[in-house]
Amino acid sequence: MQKKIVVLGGGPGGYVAAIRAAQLGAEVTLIEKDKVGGTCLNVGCVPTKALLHAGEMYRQMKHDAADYGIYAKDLSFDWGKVIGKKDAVVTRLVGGVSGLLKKNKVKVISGLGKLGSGKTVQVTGKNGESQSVPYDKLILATGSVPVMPPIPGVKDNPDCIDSTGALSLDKLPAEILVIGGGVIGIEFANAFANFGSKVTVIEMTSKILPLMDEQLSKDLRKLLEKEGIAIHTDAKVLSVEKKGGKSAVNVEMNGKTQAFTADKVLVAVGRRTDTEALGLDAQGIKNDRGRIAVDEHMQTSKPDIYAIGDCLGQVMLAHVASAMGEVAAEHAMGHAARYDGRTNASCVYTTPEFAGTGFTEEELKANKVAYKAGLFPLVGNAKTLIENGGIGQIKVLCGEEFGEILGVHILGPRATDLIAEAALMIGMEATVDEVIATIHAHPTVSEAVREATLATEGRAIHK
Amino acid sequence: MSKQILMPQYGLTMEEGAVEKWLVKEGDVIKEGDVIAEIVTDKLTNDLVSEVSGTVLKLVAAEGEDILVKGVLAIVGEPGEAIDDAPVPQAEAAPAVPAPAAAPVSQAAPAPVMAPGGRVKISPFARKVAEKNNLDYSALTGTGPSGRIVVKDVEQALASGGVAAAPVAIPAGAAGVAVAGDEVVKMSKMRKIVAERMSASAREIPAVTQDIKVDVTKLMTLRAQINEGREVRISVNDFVLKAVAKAIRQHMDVNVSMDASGASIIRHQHINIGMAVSVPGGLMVPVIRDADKKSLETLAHEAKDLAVRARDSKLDPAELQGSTFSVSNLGMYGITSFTPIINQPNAAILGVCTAEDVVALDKEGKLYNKKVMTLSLTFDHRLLDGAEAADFEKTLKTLLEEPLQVIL
Repeated sequence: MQKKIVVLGGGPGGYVAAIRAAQLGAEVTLIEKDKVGGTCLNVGCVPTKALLHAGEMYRQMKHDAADYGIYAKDLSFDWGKVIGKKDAVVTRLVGGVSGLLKKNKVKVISGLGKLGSGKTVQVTGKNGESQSVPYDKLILATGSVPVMPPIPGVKDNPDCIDSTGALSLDKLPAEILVIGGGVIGIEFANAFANFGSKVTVIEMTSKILPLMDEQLSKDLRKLLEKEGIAIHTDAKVLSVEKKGGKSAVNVEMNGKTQAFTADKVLVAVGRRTDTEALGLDAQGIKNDRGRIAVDEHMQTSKPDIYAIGDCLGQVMLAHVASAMGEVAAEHAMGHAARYDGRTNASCVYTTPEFAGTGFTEEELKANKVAYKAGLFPLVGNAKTLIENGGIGQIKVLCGEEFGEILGVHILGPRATDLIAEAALMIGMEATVDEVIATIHAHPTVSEAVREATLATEGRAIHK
Repeated sequence: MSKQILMPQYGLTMEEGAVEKWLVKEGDVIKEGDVIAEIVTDKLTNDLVSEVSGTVLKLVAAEGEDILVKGVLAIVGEPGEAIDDAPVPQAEAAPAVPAPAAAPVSQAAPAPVMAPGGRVKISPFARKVAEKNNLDYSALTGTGPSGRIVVKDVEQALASGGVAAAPVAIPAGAAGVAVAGDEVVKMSKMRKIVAERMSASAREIPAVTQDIKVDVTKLMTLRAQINEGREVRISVNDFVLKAVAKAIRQHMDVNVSMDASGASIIRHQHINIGMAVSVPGGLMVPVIRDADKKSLETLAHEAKDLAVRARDSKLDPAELQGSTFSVSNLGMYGITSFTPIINQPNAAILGVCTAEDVVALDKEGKLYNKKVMTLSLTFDHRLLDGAEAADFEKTLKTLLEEPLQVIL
């Protein structure tokens, strides 16, 4: 008898869980209220990176190419086509995910699901018709939505947009103000600035990218400011007013109130779970204001129901959701599986890219861990010199006594790809010895990871 | 640039060794290929062959100091060069030799994380923590991916009192006290290992020794006949080995070991006899495999070869493993009875004593001369009982007293 696994939500958490469960022999049904691929593919990770890539291409041609002896006369961009290309990439990927689900014989039901009585999910389709889907095990993967803070004037002002709106503007805003200096805000700031918008970032706390290594975050901030992005920290948005064709944003900073004008105001203060429609409390599923509680096997307080990804309200990243999805699927199918987030990486797709895994230096200090730090400025790295003139830095943190890798932070080209080696180091409990013993190809940015590791022992060659 | 000479890995399971003797001193000029030291590991001595040429700048490892595989032994370079004797970080190089073919199954059940080839799966960080704390991690169960031992497992083992590989300190009162004139000599590696193994055997096994007297008059006559005109002579011990092998085949109850759980008995199908050989500074027990399938001649040849190579320290580590029964012969020393200590994980060991001239009375009351040899069998009373051991000894006696039966 095949086990019936129902997955509620078709984003990177849900569709991965569905495919894994199918691989393990389950009869899988996936319920998705909109498009498969969820936030990530449709209005999150993928489209923003596509936009960033296009912006980066334009900026390189406009600002860097001449230095390499390459000239583009009448360089221009067609915003409609930029958005169109982004849409095409998204459509292709969504189609790809649909194809994968089909290949794995996952039944996809379009509609909004909520927890029914017994072991069923009640699905309401677009035309209002409803059906009851039974399950042996259920995996909740309902994701998250952008937070709309209760700032006066925001809600009813059409110039105030969230990340979804920012991806489908009909034209490039001349001036854009970003509320929120986290990853989403900073990435959008970089993307719009690359195309030539005048960008201002307002951040309430004292630093941008609060979860990343502070030293390297400061480096990135300087680089972004050099590109013309105005970044204000310790700044609080008091209200937003519509003023003619633009909007005025009133910000409390440096002890007084300052007004900024913008064509669009991007609100990027965070994301929250979206589980109200599910009926968690009625079903006795333990949650903290909608954030579903789970154990290391992704099981909720009801053992036949699992929950993964953004609906936990913890680490809201697509790859975390996917990793959790695999754990939930495996455990639901009777295999021993535990989620271990130690190898998770945080990635920022600015130029240069910024990625980190493991502990930041601040965390080590706060926890009084005896550590050594190895820094390697990329001005000493041949490949980086070729690509961007040598901008960036790599930091490796290791235990003082045994040299076990504690954290790796990369600011530089392809940081988001290079960080995978670091995640492997941490997951395998490698020490600096293993990294140093690994030959890294030349010329690459990856060899700078080895140099930073050598630097923990004071023996970097190219520094 | 100065080069480091590291502790080689002689044998797949070697983890550490010691320089028994340096053959060069600081300042000597050496060539690639020179033998510069004798390294002792697990009782075996190996040559340390230099892979570099140059001047010996520093002998980092002291004679007798335990050094882990890939630890720094010496620095070689140009005279006057700055010396870097920081350990060279080495990746856990996979052994180039494939897993040993047909390794005898008789040894204690391997730890669950033992990868083929005898390596324990442990993360680099966990290994470092374990080594620092002298923890024998080969006995740990790993909770990491694919059963790998991770730092958490090592920390837990240490917190709960661990399996320390450090030698147990001798309690005051049991230790000797040196007075003026006494010489204090550090125990050689061989001695340390013998001490550890004998202590463990004595401590863990409820051992009983049973003697039986064997009339070997006919054996001696047959032996003399066989050896007439032979260049390579067959010894009494060779006869004993053959007889033991045959007797074991009739009493497979003695060819057993306790398994690692302590709850099961492994009944070995191969009869591999460990032959105790006295070597300078100690004792080694090379193994003759499938002794019951070998002719007396083959056994004699093999026994002699193993004994010679044992004394010259030219045995392969594999030749010291896999015994299912052991024999220790003190006959040539005139010993008339003794209590041999069991060679773990065997269930028994046969002590062979000297053949004495005894005068006896025959059926008609006439005096006659016979040669009598005592066999002292020590057995593990957890695995065998007196009656089983005695039955085995009776069969052995019968075979040796009618020695043609041994050869057939």
